[in-house]
Amino acid sequence: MSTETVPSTPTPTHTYDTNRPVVSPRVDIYENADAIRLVADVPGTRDADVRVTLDKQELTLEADVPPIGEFRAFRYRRVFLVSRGIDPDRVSAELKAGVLTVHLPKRDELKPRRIHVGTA
Amino acid sequence: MFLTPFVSLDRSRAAWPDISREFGRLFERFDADLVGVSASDDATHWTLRAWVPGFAVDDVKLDATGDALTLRGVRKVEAPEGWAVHRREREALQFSRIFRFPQPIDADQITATLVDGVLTVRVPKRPEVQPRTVPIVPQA
Repeated sequence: MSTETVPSTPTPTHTYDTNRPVVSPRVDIYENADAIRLVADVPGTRDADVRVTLDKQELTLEADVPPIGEFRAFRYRRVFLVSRGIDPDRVSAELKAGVLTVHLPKRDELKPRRIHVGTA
Repeated sequence: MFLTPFVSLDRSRAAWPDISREFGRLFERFDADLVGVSASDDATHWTLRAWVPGFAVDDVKLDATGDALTLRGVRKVEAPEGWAVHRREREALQFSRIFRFPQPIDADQITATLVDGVLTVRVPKRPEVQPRTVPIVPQA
């Protein structure tokens, strides 16, 4: 006889460690013709603890911060929706002095292009 | 100068052991717009921590005079050249805090490190002056 377990609740897509409070970092968003740039204040974050993931149009910035002195461990987390015009293969991120910068280049075909006007 | 809900250490010297719990609670509202500075101590040192993302070493000044340590810093936030601004949440930060200690502090003994946007300042405690008994030598 086979037993099949049917989950009674759907599997969550994000799991939270309830011992770790979650903080939403402040983020600046800039744009130019080539790319979009996100800059987030995440003091206390070390290189190894940053996670930047792009799942379809959902960009997640996450960083686990270890206990510092009398402060307990916590997590920075913020989710953004990015347009389809972003090239996911060329997304990059850099962490420096507690500031995370994420570079989201636009797909080439969506960049503004000069159209050459020929003479008849 | 920021108006800050942080308890002034001048007024609360008697409540020194409670300061770190006070700061811990305030920290949980991190999206409040402040440079958070915490203070704690152990047997040998006082430790101050300031949350200063994006500050370079040159942006922070520490001055020790008598029994006071002044912590100051400025960070500018500018849109990068040639980029339009869609959203601006990060503020230019400027803070100036004076911490008074129950004993004179020695600037040469203070250490400060800036790592990952957190400034940690360690101020050593001087050993207390112990009472000394004066021996009385009987006249031979």
